[in-house]
This record gives sequence, C-alpha cells and structure tokens, in this order.
Amino acid sequence: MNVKIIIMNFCVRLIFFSILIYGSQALYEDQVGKFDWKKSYVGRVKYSHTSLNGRDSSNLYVVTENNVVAALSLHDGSIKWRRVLELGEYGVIHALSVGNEVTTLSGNGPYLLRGWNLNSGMLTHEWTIPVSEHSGFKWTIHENNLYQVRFLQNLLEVTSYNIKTGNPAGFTSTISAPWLDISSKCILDEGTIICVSDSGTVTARGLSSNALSSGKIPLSEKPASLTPVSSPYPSALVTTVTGKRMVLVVSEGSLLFLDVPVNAVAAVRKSSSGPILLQASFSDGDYELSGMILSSKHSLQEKKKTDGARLPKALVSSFECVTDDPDLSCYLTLVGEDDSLILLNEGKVSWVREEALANIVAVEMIDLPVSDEEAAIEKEFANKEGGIVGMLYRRIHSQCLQVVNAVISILGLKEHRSESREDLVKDQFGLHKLIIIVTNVAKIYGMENDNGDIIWQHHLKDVNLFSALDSPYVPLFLQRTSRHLPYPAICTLLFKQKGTEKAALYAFNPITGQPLFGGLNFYDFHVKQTLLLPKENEEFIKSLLLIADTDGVEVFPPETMQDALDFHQDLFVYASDVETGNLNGFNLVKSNEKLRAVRVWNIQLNAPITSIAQKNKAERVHSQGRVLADRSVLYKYINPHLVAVATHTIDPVHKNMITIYLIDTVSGGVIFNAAHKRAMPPVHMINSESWVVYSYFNDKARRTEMISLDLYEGKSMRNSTEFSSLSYLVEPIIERQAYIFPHNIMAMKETITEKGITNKHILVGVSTGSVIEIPWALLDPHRSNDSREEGVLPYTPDLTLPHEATLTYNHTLPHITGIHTSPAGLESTSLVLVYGLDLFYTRVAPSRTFDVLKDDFEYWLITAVLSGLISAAYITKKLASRKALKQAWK
Amino acid sequence: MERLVYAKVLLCFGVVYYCISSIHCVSENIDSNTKDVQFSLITGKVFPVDEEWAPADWKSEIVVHLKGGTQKAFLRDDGSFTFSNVPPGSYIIEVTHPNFVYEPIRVEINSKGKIRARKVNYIQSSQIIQVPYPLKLKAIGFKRFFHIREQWRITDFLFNPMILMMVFPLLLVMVLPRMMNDPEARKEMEQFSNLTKYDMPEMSEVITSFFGGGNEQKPKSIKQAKKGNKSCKSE
Repeated sequence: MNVKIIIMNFCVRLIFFSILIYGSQALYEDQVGKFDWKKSYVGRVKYSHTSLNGRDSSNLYVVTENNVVAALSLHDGSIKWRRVLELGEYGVIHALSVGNEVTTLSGNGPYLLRGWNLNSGMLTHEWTIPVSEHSGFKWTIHENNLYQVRFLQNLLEVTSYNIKTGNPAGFTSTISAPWLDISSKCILDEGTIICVSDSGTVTARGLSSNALSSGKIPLSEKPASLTPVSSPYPSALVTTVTGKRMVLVVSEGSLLFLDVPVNAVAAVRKSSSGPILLQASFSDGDYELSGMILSSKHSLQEKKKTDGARLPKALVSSFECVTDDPDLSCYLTLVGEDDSLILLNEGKVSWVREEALANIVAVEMIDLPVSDEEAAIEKEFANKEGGIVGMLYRRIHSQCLQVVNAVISILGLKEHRSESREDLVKDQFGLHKLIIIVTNVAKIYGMENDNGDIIWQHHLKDVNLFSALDSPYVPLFLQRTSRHLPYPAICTLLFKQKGTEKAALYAFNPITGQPLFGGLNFYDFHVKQTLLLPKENEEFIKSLLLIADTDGVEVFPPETMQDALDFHQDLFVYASDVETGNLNGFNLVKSNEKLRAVRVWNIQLNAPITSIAQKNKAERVHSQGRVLADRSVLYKYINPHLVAVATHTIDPVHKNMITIYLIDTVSGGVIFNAAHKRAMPPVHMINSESWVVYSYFNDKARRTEMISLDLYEGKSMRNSTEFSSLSYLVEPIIERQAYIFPHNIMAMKETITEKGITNKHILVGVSTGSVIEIPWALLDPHRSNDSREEGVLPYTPDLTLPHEATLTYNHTLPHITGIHTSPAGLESTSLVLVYGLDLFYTRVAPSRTFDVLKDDFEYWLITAVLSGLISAAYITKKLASRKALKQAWK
Repeated sequence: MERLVYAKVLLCFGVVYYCISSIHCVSENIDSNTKDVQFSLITGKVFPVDEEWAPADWKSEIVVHLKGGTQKAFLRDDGSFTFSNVPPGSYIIEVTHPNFVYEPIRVEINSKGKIRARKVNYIQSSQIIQVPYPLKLKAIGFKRFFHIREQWRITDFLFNPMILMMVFPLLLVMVLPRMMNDPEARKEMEQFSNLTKYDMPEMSEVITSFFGGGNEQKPKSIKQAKKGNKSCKSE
C-alpha cells in the first residue's frame, strides 16, 4: 500500500516536472544555430610548431597559456583539433615537441607526458614522471628524449626519458659544470644548455652529445635575460640591462652572434648557406621582413613588407621555410602582445586569430543607436517649440528628407561610409545589440551579437587589471546610453596604471570604439571604491565617483561635479577587504565644494571572503508579493542595497566552514547569516529580486548543494513606493531550502528581462562544458510536500534536469568562467553570453516567447485558410443571389 | 560477549570480501621519497551506445573527468583511459561526450591504494552498490536535447474532435434535406416511417371519445339539418 502511494507520488512529480520543463525551455532541432553561435579559441600561444605537408595537412601545432593543445590549419587558421587539458596548475604545459606525434609535458609535479596523433588529436601514449622533492626544473625535448634539468652551483642534474616509453625513469646523472655560477643566465634549447655569464662568456653544452663549446661575445653591459629564439639550432636572444639585444646561435660546434635592432623580432632559419637571421622589424603596425646570413653577415637582397596590416607588436613563436634556399619564403607565426596569433606567409598576413577572447574579464551588452531616419523622426518629436507653424514646417521638412532618401536608395546612389556599418542599428525588438568585451590583456572589443563579428578593437598598453577573489576584473560603467542622440554613448573602464598601480580611467564610445575625454586619464591616487551616480545630468551623463584610499572623491567627467554635490547625502558606498573579511560602509560628505568619504559602519567577518553577490542595477521587480493558498499576500523583501557575502574558514573542529551573510550596505545591518559545516568552496552566489541562491561543495556528503533563500517582509507592505534602509529596521521572514545539484558548478547567473514580468531562470555553467537552465520554481524554498499552494511543486532534494534543459545542447564549452545576461527589448527574452575558453551566445525565453509569434508559426496555413474563407464567402454570395433570382422568376 | 565475537567475525568477513573485490585493482603505487601520499592509478574502458553505429570519431570527443575536471583523461585508440597520480580519496568519474549519456561512477581509494568503484548516489550517500573495477563504462543512451516539432498532418486535422464535432452537424444540415428531395429516397423514408407507424389511436381522441361519447352524432345531425334546410330553400 505504502509502495503504491510512493509510486503514485513519484508519478505525480514526474508529470509536474515534465510540464514545467516542457512548458518553459528547450529548442527544436531546426532552431540550432538560428539565434545562437559559438566561437572557439585556444588562448595565448606559449609554444608552437609549424609543419608543412601539402596544402591540406599543413598544420600549426600550438600549446597555450590556457592549457590547450591544438592543431590549427595553416591555410585559414581554423581549429582542426583541440584538446583542453586540466584547469589550473595541473594542466600547465611546459614543453611541446612535434615529430611523428605531438608530445606535450604538463603538470606541476607529478608531471604527465602525453602524445597526440598529428591528424586526429587522439591520445597515443601517456606516462607520468613521479613527484620529486625538488622543484624548479627546466625541460626540453630533443630527438625523442625529454630532459629534466636542475641547475645547482657548478652542477647540473640531468634526467633523461624516452618520450615514447618514459624509460629510463628516475635515472639522474650529475654533470659538473665549473662554468656555471649563480650570476649566469641559462636557457635550454634544442637539447643544449646555453649559459651567458656576466662577463659575456658563452658556454653551450649538448645534453645528449656532451659536446661543449664556448666563446665570448662582445657585451658592453651585463646580460639581463635570455629568451628563446625560434630556430632549428640551439640559440638564444640575449637582452642586456640597457635593452640591447643580440642573437646567439650554436651551429656545428661554433658560436655565431649578431645584433638585433630593438624594434625587430628575430628567428634563425636553416639554409644551404648556413644559418640565416630572419628579422621582422616593426613600425606602425607593419612588419618588414629581412634576412642576414649569420656566418658572413651578408644581408639578403629581398625584403618583404606587410601593407597597412595594423598588427600589434609581437614575438616570433615558430616558423617554417618552404625551400632550403637562402630566401624569405617562410611561414612566420607571431604572438602579439595583445595575445593575437598572426601568420605571415612570405611577409604577407595570412590570418589573425584574436586569442585574447579566450580570457574575458568583463562583458556588457549595449543597445545600438537608432538609424538616421528614425533619429530624424525622434528629433522632430522631441523639439516642441516653434508653435504649430514650426511643427508643421519640421514635419514637412523631415518627410521631404525621407522621400529624398528613399529615392536615393532606390536609385542606388547612396554612398557607403567606410567606417560604420549600415546595418548596425537598433532593431524593432531590441534584440540587436553590441557586446563590449574586456579581456585579460586590457584589449577591448566591440562585437555584434547576431553573429559574433568583431566591429572594433582597441588594445590598451599602459594599464594593469584589478584582481579580486583570485581573478582579474575590470569595473565597467555605462555613463551614457546610446539612446540620447546626438550625444555619443559613454562607456568607462577603470584600470591600474602600469608600474604605479594608481587609478586609470579609459572612456570610449562603445558603438564605434573611439576614445572620449582624451582616452586614458591617469589619476594620482589608488582607488578604493567607485560609484556610478544613479541620476543623469542634463546631458544624460551619469557621473562616476572615484573614492581614493585617502577618502577623497574624484568625479569623472569633472564637469559633473555639481550633480554629485547635489546628490551627495543620498550616496552610500561600501568597500570590502577580501583577505581579512573587513567590510566598511561610507557616506559622502560635502566640504569646501569637495566630497569626502566618511566611514559610517564597519563589519569584521574575520575570515577570507570567497564570494560577494550584488543585485543587478538594471533589475526591475514586477510583482511585489506572492499570493498564498488562503488568498492573502506575502510581500517580498526587495532591498536593492542587500549584498550577499560568503566567507570560508578552516576550523579545527568542523574542518571547512562556509558562512553566508546578507548585509544591508547602507545601514550596515547584518540581516541574516547561516553557517555550513564541512562545506568547501567554490561558492557561487546569485542575489536577485527577493531571493538569494548559492552553491558550495558539501565535504561530508561529497556533493554540490544549492541553497535558496527567499526573503519576505510579511503580510503587510511597509512602503509601496520605495525601499529605505534607514527609516526602519525590517526583520524579513526568510524561507530556505537546500537542493542537491549533480554537477560541479563553474559559473551561475540569473536571467534578466526588461520589466521583470517574465519568470527568472538560473543559468548554471558546469564543469562538463554545458550550461543548464534551471527554472526558479524548482529552487523555490516554498517547495514542500504538504503545501497546497498553487504553482508550487512538491519538494524533491535532487535537481537532476533532463537534457532538454541544456542551453548549449551538444556544444561543449571548456572552462566556463562567466555568464552574462542582458535584457532584450522584448519582455520575454533575455540575451545570454557564456564565456570561458569559448564564446557562446544565445537567447532564452524563460516564460516562452509570449510577446511574439512563434518562429514556427504557419503563415501559409493561415493565409490559405483566410483566402479560402474569403473566396468561399464571395462564391456563396454569388450563388445565393442567383438562387434568389431564380426563385423570383418562379 | 558472544555478540562481540560475532561482530568481529563479521568484520573479518567484511575485510576478506573487500580484499577479494579489490584483487582486480592494478593500483600502481609510486613511492615518493618525501611525501607520504601514495598515488594510485585509476584505469577503465569506455564503450559507445552501439559499437556498430557509433560515429568514427566518438573516441576523440570523449573526455573523462575526475573530480569535476581537476584531472582529465583522454581515450586511447582501444577506448581505454588512465588517471595517474591520484591521491587517496573519493572521486566522481564522469565521462563526457556531446551526445552519449554515461552514468557517473564514484571511485574510492583508501590510504593503502586500494580502489573500489560504486554507483553514485547523491541522496543516500551511505548506500553502496559496487561496480566492477577496472571500470567498464558503457553509454546508456543518447542525449535528447531537442523537442520534436509537431508537424501538421491532414489526418491529425481531420480526426481532431473539434473538427469532427463541426463536420457532423454540417452533414446533418447539408445532406439530410438533399435526401428528402430525392424521390427514391423519399419513398424509402416513407417506407421506413410506415414501418415505425403504430396503429394506435391517439390518446386525445380516446379520451374525448370516452368522455363525450353521445355527443358525437350531434354535429352531424346539425349538419344534416342544415343541409336539409338548404335543400329546402333551394327547392
């Protein structure tokens, strides 16, 4: 009997779930790629190898800083295969060698040597180097041997392994090296150790052949560093303390050297007339390729130059020459300082890959401006002065303009402006937007959201990024939206100046990428916190306040100071120290027409903070309450100042402990806190509307758990117009519920829509490379087995969702670092960009697209039915009149 | 006392059983000199849903994750994989493929390097269902990411109850009057109605005749009388 009930219960739940899932999400198969796109990247290239085997199988093998091994087509730069190794230290790649297979060495002790098939990327062999007590090894792969070298005082410890089998493992030989002292700089290249002492004595020792060659180079200063040079010979680039550079090549036991100009990148190629130094000198975005025979110091006749390519400053990563003749017919792979990967073929640019996009730090989606015609109409209606005659004049004038425009476009006379694209305008539904992306190397991109095309890009050279919670971050502010034509939109980024670490602001027009207010503005203080004024001035600019660590306040742009002064008593900010768990709240005080931050509260959490979640400023809450089963209303506690903070403590009794605090950042009151014993980071949090969702790893039950908190004011509404943290202290009623999530979470984000009418879904990026869409109803803390409320599901601890809930369907997105959601003009739709190693863009409609026709709406059917009805009506009318006539004659 | 011995025996039995189950383990313990951690090797083999129908490149699309991707293993040509350097602990092994569904497996390595594998049960983590080790992981199906779009078919349309409800009255309205006009059909109908006609006197008639039996002749006589009068007049 009992079993029967359980089964019944289960069936009911299943039906509930399936209705819920079917009713809300998932694609149809023919919608694949219709409004989503994916772009794959490999990351900043660390080592590469070019191999020429005919047009189709010419590959560029790369290993990258993002722990990726990949083969790129030399022809167009597309990815042929890509293997993503482990995230973090365990997957760091130390060496690459390409022979009969691609061999990589990765790890941080234990080390893993993996062999990959050249064409398919399948694993061919794998063996491991045991953990050693030492660290600081250098590695080189040369002629089927892997050498592990440790530098000691006058000694070298060399262990060699066969790259196929790993034998002989652990056999270490010690080589006495009297020429090695602490001051000398050493490098491992092509199975040879090259060391340069302070006096300029060069010693090169082969690891397999024991060949020792030494010589002296004419150095006037001390060498500062040795960097590898792409070359089939053992070679190195010596940079002196003053920046002079010289290339060293060991060829057949003799030492060759040549000066390299400061603005040139160098590689050494093999040819029939000995080693040749290939130089690509950089000036104004162009490279000029020249060559010089090293032994005779003769320059080659030919020179090749790229033409207006606008390339970044770069280093040669690898190259391969087509013939053995002493010429420049080589493929040169360059890695730019903006992380881009460039292939030059005989001095011409074959392709450029924007690999900075594999390390995105900040994302914003911005409305495109309206088209010129619509702007003219808007202008007409915006301007109310001039009386009825003036308005009539403007009306006629703008309509004449429209007619002229129409005639011109019909005749095809319209000239194309080269700088901006015609179709980059706002669409009817607000779905067409521009994605602003800031990457780890301070490169900014403007990307179209329809297909991922890069509209503009800009690399900032003199700035560093902030870092918080172990990841880099860039505060991004939209100071003026693109709605206020003819004023340009203003987007501002906050960086740190390279070297001094002081504040640097970069303002630009997000639509065109043009710098505004002089581009980079440097300040003479370290910034503690920033604040975007919630109010626009008469030029529609929201003022940006920078609070210095000395508590002074600077305003950007400076002319909006008055707005900030007028508004100052309503401004509260908080700053958190992640390491100590110290939170400080500040109020802004006016003194001598200047603002100062004054500390008003302080909370010491006494533990390092692992995660902080704020509410999205663009969020709107449509429904203020929730109707209960007895038809009474429970009002939501919607506090826009609420911040969720998670700390991690290592406790001797409870081992790991995660504590969650909900803090009102205006009053400094801790509204709620909860501790989870034996819980581990990573903690991911979402703070939205009246609820908070967070996840952590339960160490005891060894599973990821998701907790949802829902905050309510109670059955009466305290203030229907606006929330105030200061007027009264509300103890919200908090409901909570825990769920088990059967995946490892990498990133979590809620969907957002224009007016907040649509349901919220939670998008969870998981470690297996997909993004799962969870309806909020599944996480609702109201879920219980005995509640009889409408629309509330019975409680189940498990959050296993069907595959239809996978937003990314069969795409695998490795190493997801973040999800960005943005409202579209349509209330039903939220735009989503998932970033990590890959970029994935799509739209979600949490309550289905209730405001537009479905894309499978059968227009032809409705047309056929309507025209059928109309024609039937006419025919019957005719027939009826004929019949009436006949009847009349009878 | 007796109970304690019994418990001990059980414990011993348990240990023996445990050893038997882990005889298969090919755990390769690498003794490191400094760290006391013993690293183990987890091995296994992955199979597709159906060997014959699997796409040619299915192996290259599979990555096996240990502990949420902190360690990854790639498949060799024979479908086998290895995790080397795994410290003791409890781990979840997930096989990821864009289209195949694999069940995750929990692998536990004790401090001596013994490995046992069991099914993942997040809800009741104490419930243990052992699976053989070395792991043999077979796909249990295909992932269904998409809804199947409803297609418009004429039969679906016609057998829709609403349509049937519309068509039937239409038939009644349109076809029946036509049938009445047709003389043959009318004849048939008449026959049909004749068949159903009962020679039963009407109730009202019966009642009227019963109550006013003698009065029946009266009108007749009056008529006759009238007729008589008429005739008289004419005569």
